Amino acid sequence: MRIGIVCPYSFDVPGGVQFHVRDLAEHLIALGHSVRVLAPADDPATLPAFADAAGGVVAVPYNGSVARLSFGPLTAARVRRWVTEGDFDVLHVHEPLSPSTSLLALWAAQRSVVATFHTANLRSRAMQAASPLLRPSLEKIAARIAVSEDARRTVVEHVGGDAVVVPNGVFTDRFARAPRRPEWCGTPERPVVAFVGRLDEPRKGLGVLCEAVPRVRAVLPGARFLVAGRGDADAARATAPDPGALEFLGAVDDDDKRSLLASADVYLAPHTGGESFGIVLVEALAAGAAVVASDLGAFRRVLDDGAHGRLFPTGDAAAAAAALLELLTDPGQRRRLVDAGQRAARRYDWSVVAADVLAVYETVRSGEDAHRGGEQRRSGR
Amino acid sequence: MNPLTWALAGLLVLCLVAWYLSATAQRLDRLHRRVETSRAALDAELTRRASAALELATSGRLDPASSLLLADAATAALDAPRTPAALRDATDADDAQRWRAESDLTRALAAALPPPGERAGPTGADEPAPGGLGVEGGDERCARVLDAWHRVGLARRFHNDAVVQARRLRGKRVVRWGHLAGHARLPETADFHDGTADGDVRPGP
Repeated sequence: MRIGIVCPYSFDVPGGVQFHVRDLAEHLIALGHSVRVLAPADDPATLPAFADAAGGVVAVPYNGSVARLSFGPLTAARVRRWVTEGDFDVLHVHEPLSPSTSLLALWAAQRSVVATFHTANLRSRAMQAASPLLRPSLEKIAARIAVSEDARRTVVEHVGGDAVVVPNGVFTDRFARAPRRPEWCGTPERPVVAFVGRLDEPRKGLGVLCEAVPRVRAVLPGARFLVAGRGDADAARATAPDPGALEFLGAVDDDDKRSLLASADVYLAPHTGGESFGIVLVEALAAGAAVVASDLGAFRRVLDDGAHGRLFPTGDAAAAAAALLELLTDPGQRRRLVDAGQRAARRYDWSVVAADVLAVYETVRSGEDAHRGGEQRRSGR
Repeated sequence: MNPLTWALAGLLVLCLVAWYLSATAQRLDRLHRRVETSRAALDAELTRRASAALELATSGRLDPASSLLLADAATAALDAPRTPAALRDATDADDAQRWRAESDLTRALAAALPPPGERAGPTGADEPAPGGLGVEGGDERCARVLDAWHRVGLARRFHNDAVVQARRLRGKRVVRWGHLAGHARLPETADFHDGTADGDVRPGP
């Protein structure tokens, strides 16, 4: 199948949507499909071999963070040309409501469009204001996918209509087989808790972790907290009540992140909101870390209401500390959770997720083919 | 203002109205096409599911009671007229009867197949079914039915999404007063039980 995938965010900033597009393209290519990806980029050399540059990258504050988007008349013309010349069987646009390449591709597209909605926090006022302009484009989408139940609800409420849920994918084997690092592995006296997320983004919940640290250390004085993520470590340390227990690893690459999750005893996800799916939870489960997470809807669903990890009330540092202590002091329970978690994570393996995405493509195509066949029969009569 | 300005202003307004009407008609045409396409996809998937169910029912892998029940429901679903012409001329009553047959097939499948936790194949759990359908050949047929069933859920959702959007545009005053829809039938959602809930399109019990 000839597949065109459009990513609205530049690949030079890491992000969930970009990773999803990259991994999906890689997996579909491995299955033997012909895949092209279009993404905002000024220099094509910075992109993977299967991606084309849409040009005109501008950094814009959008949806709570600075996104590197691509728009303007030149980009619109380039996107249109890419769509026309690509002659794709299926055009798959991601985040069709972001003011970037996806929206432009939708504008240019004529048929067989599949769209994936990632976000669960659309700004409804902007949507309402722009909806008369966006609706004709949105009506071209033949099949909508949402990456989580929360993202689907956002679609239903703000866009209307419905979507099917196909979750984000994870190469679970890469996490399960990640090598452990001795310096990141915990001992009964010095257990290790890991955190991955930007330090300066409050919704990632580093503040909750910092508050939980002294409570955990009151019982387990040797407990270590490894914090991976970009941001100002000194500023984070200055506000923490017990900075001595925190070890900042800075931004980590994919290999280090996998090793960290595989080495740590417990992964803590203290996010306070804005999470649509929680892919890092699946990664931690796949890597074999026991998970303690705030009870956001997205996390509850990934952890199956606590069957694959401990949940605590969002923002409640005391409850987070209690859950951490429970797991850190009981290796048997931790083992059981890890086993259940690794099994559950397989549901999100790319082999399963990509098959679901392909089923959506084929459903759309089967309608096109059957419809065209019917019309040819009628006209040939 | 002189008459010429008035005339030009009037012409401009007329042009704008004409542009808006033609743009709306184009949107509506695209939506109608999408409804037809998604309906064709739904019919293709329903046919696949019914054939796969019939194959499973006649394979001798199920107990006789389940086989009979499933074969009956599958043939009833396959008997429905499904040529493009028949779909175009179908009335609401025809559709209602059609969806009743498909709901029956869903129920028959839910009763005949092992519960979701014990299913093998791409859409079930990863462990093979213990006993029953865990016989060679049976597994493959079972997986084919489950895959087709899963796709019926997808196709139904995409079709209903198209219908909802077409109906919303058809409800607008400009479409009603401008008779932009012509004689096209007002599309109806496919209301049958496909064994799925909410966003989850995996067949359940």
